[in-house]
Amino acid sequence: MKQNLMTNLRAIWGRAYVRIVGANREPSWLFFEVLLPLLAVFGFAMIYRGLGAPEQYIGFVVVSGAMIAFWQNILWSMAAQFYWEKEMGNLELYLIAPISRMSILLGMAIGGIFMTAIRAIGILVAGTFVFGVAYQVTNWPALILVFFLTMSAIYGLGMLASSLFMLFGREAWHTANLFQEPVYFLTGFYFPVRSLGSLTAMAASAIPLTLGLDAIRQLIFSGNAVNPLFTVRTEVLLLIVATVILNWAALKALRYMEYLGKSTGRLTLKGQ
Amino acid sequence: MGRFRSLIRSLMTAGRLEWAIESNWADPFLFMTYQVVRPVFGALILVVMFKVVSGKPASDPAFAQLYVGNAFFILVTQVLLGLGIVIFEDRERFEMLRYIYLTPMGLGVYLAGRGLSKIVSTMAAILITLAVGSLFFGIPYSMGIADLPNFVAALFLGTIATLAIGVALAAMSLGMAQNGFSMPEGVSALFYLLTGAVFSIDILPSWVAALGRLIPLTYWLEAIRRSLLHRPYIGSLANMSDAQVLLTLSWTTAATVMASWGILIAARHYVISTGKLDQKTDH
Repeated sequence: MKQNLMTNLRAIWGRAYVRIVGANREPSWLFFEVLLPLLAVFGFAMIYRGLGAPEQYIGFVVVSGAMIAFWQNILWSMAAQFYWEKEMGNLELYLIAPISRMSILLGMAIGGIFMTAIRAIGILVAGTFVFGVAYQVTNWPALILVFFLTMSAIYGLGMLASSLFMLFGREAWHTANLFQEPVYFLTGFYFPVRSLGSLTAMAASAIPLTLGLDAIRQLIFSGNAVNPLFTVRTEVLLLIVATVILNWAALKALRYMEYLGKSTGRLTLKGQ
Repeated sequence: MGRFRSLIRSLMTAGRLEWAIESNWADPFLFMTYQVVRPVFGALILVVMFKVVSGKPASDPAFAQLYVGNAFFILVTQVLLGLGIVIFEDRERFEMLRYIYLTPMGLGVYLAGRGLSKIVSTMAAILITLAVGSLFFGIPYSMGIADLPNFVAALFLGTIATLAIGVALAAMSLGMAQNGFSMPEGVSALFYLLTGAVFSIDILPSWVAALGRLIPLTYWLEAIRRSLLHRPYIGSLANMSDAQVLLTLSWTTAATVMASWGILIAARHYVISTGKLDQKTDH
């Protein structure tokens, strides 16, 4: 039991190591992953400035820009990762190793959160500096709790999606693309999600990012949050439920998709 | 004549390859759905942003300018994203870059062919986005027969400029490690910011706006808007006639093509002399 736990902990650290330490051996990633994505955030902030929007909307864009970094990490480096691993020939090595598949996914998530946090902090700092965004946080513990719950829920979603992507061929690239703008739209990345109408907003809250983003905005712009979806308390409860369900579903789905992959011979099939 | 035919054949071969890699995993309808969903939702984001802030309907003339700019900018995004990853995929995933380098067509023609195929498939996405704008949001396009030559000339020159930027981006990625994979998205955002795709560059700091006025895509989008909506968009270009906008688009495009060619030659020399043409950097 103890031996098993230690092996899995080592597997988690081993997979996270590549992203935390390995990536830093090529420092140019800071330019590509931190500086260039800032420009997209600036673009959307300038649209609001061009439209003469109140300043809090520019704050929304900056905060959303930081959260988009996490969503993109989930799409490309969590969900689609098993597809890349299959193409590179690593997936079969993971499958024959005496470890839980969840340890690999957890290691990817921890490493991804670390790398992406640097990008998100860069966006927040630069956006704040360039656009003079004023934050008004009155409840730091709640903000930290909401952030971690949001991360737990959306990375759980990423793990769940990774089991699907494991069997994908070239549609993996297009499918990951498909979950960018439609998700930015439905979760209200650039505007209060209630602007979509109450019913659509409620439906969109099935994506935990919608709840997390709405709660973070309420907590980070206290008194200035426009048209929140639910109270922060309700959103925290819903995020806890989403975290439990998504992580449990990820575990089940991973086992099922691995079995399906083996029985149909698609698990290690490359270049489909 | 023989060289010209050979060039066309090479372009078509590279274009067919791009189409096969991109699309032959699905039937054409499913593939086009994938191609169209992202741009249409991008446009929807703008619709809601405009409505939330201004309270005006999407049929407002101010929104039409924004919508048309965004619709045509899809071309830039798709070509840059498509060409920006070609080198990484051919080098590290398919491990074919060294063989492509050895073919008589040359890297420049190969990249241009791949880009042309991307342009063709993206045109459908642009048309659908424009149609969605007219049908669902009441965007009032008013292009007459007289505007057609201007529109076609602008579209042709803008496409060439976009292709040249895409080839330059792909050439730059020759010497980069795998983490340059995300560069095209960032470069596309840079052009989104500098060319007045969705806001007038006049609201940018003057030195940034001056940079924007050196880019052909700024004049391309301005010319397209004038053809489709009959109104200038960028205030600092308002005193230019349609012909002057096209003329400026022509020479900035020519300069971009030459710069792109120069970058390709320099990048090719760099990777050959340092032995990096077929380096493997993924982990």
